[in-house]
Amino acid sequence: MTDQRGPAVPPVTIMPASEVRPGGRAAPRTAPRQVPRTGEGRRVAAPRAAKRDASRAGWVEERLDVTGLNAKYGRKAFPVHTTFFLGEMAAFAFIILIVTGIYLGLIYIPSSAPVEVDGQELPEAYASVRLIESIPVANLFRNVHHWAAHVMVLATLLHLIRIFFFGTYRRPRELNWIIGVVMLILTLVAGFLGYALPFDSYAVTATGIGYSIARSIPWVGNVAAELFFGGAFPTLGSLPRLYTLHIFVVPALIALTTAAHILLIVKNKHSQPGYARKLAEPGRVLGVPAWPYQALLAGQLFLLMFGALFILSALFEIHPLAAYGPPGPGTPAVKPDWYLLWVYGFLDIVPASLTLTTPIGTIGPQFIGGIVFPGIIFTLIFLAPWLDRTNRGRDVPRFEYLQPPAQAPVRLTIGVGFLTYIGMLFVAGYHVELGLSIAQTWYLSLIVPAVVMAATYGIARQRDPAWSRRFDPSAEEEDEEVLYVEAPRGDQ
Amino acid sequence: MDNVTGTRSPAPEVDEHWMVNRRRALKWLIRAGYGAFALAFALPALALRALSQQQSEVASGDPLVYASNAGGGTAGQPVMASDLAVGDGIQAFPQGKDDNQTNLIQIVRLGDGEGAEGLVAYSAICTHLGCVVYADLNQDGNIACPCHNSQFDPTAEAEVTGGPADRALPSIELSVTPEGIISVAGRFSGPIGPS
Repeated sequence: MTDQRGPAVPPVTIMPASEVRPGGRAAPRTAPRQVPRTGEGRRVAAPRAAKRDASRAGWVEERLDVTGLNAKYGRKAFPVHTTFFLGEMAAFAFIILIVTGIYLGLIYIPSSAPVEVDGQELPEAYASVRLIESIPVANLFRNVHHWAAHVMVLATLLHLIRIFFFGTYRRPRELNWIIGVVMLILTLVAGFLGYALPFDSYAVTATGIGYSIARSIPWVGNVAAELFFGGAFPTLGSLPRLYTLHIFVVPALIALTTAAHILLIVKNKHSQPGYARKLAEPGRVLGVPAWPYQALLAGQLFLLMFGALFILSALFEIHPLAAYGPPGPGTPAVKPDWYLLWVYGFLDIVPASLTLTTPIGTIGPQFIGGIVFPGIIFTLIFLAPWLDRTNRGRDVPRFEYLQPPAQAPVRLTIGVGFLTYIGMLFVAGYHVELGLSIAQTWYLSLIVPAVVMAATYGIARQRDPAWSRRFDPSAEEEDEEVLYVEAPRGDQ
Repeated sequence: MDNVTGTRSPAPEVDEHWMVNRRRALKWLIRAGYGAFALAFALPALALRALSQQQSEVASGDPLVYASNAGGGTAGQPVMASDLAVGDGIQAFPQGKDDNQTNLIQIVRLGDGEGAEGLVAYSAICTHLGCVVYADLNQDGNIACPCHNSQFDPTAEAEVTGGPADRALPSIELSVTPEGIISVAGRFSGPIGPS
C-alpha cells in the first residue's frame, strides 16, 4: 500500500503542524515536504504564508486527497487509437438517454386506459405522448431520446466489431467481452421495451409480436410472457410493467454492467495499438493521461454528440405519432428498427415445416425464429474467446496489442462472413418487397456470405503488403504529436 | 472491550450438549428462512393466473358488427350479408365483445347465395405471431398477414399457402338472421392465434 502511487509522480501532501487530523491524533511534526502544485518548486517563505496557502488549497485537499487521487487515477494512461472512442460514445448516448428520458418521464403517463381527447377516445399513454409532441422542447427531447437510442445501439455494435476484428477479446479480457455482449443485449432489450410506450398502432403490433414470441417458449412461455408483459398483452397491466422495466430495471442493469466493464478495463489494462510496442517498454501502458488530456477529448466527444443529436432531431423527426395513429383493430405493416430487423428477417423466412411436437409442448417456427436463432447467434458471440484458436496455448501470456485484422485472415473471414449473413437477413426482411421467394432468399442468404468469405480469405491470404500496412498502426508512429505518459503496469 | 486487551478470563465450562443444540437450532432456523423465502416467491407465482383478466369470448348467436370504419361500414354497425360482394373481405367483432382482440373475425364472400351460403369466416388473428391479417384479400385471393407475410387460402379452410405460419386460421360457422345480419353460429374450430 505504501508505494502504490508509482514512481512517476511523488505524492504531494500539505500538512501544517498545527492541523489536527480527524482521528484526533496530532499531525506528524514534520515540515511540509512539498508545496501545493500551484507553486511547484517554491520554498515555503514564512509560516504565515504557508498557513494561508495551505488553508486555500488544503480544505479540499485534506478531505479528498486530490493530489493523491490524481497520482493514482488522473495519471492513468489512455492509449490513443482512431477506434478508441466507440465505447465512450455508447456511454455518452446512455447518459443523454437518461437525461432526456427523465424529462419525458415528467409528462408521459404509462396507462392504456381510454381517455377522451377532443371527442376522440385514446389510450392515456398515446394522449400523453401527443401532449409531449405539442410542447416544442418536449418534442425535441423525444426525438433526441429516439435518435440517441439508435446511436447507443450502433456505437455498442461498432465497439464490439472493433474488439472482434482486432482480437482484443482474448486473454485476459474474456470476461469483459462477455460483460460487453450482455450490455449489447440489455441495450437491445431497452430499445424493444421503448417500442411499447407511445402505445400507437405500431407499438401495440411490435410489442404484441414480442409477447407472442415469448409465449412460444415451450412450457414456461405463458407464465414468462404474462410476467413480463403484465398479463395477456395488451391489458391494463402491460404498460406500467413495460415502463418500469424500460426506465428503471434495464437502465440500472446497464449502469451496473457499465461499472463492471470499466472496472475490468482498469484491472486488465486497456489494450494498446501496435505502435505502443515500439515506444514503451514491455509491461507498460502507453497513452495520454486521463487528466487532463483524455478528459478533454472525452468532453469534446460528449459535446459533439450532444450537439449532433440535437441537430439531427431538429431536422429529422423520427417516429411521429401521426405516422401510425392510435391502435385499432387492424395491424399495420410494420418492420422493427434496423437493430432487430435481422430477427424479423429470419422469422420471415423460417419454414413453417419446422414444427416439432415434444412432450413439453409444441416447438413452432415462432420459437425457432424468435428465441432459438437469436440465442444461437449470441451464444456464438459469447463463445468467441473460446472458439478463437489463437487464444489457446500458453505461449503468449497476455494479448496486449491490437492485432491488425489483415494479420489474422481466419478471424477476418469469419467476422466478415458473420456480418454478411446478418446483412442478408436484412434483405430477408424485405424479400417480399424485393420480389424474392423464400427459397431464393435462403439460397442468397447462404451463398452471398460464402462468396464474400472466400473472397476475404483469398485477399487476406495474399498478404498484399500495402493492404495490411493500412491497418497496421505501427506504420504511422513516426510523427505522432500526442503527449504520452507511461504508467506502471503494477497496481494502479 | 477490556477483555480484548486484558488478560483472558478462564474459559467458561462449555456445555457440549447445549452447543450442539444451538448449532442445530440455528441450522433449522436458516433452513426455515430459505423455505419462507422460496414460499414468498412461490405464492405470488400462483397468483399469476389472476393477471389474466377474464375477457369476453365469442358465443353462438352473437351478431357481428364492423370492427372499424374500413370496408364500407362504420365501427359498431351490424354487418349485413348483402354488404359483401364476391371476393370481398371484412373484419367484424361479435357485438359488444370488441374488448378482446382475439374475437376478431375475418368474413369473406366466396360466392353468391342465400343467407350464409357463400360466406366463410375465420379468426383474423394470424397463427404465426398473432398479428391481425389484412381484411382485403391479396391479388392471389389469399388472406395475408402484414407482419411476416403468412398466407391462408379462404377457399380451403384457410390452409397455409405461404409464409412462416404453421397452422390454418381457425374457422367459425356463420348464420344470417331474417333481417340479413350476419351472426355467429358455433365456436372457433381451434385455438386462436399462435400457440
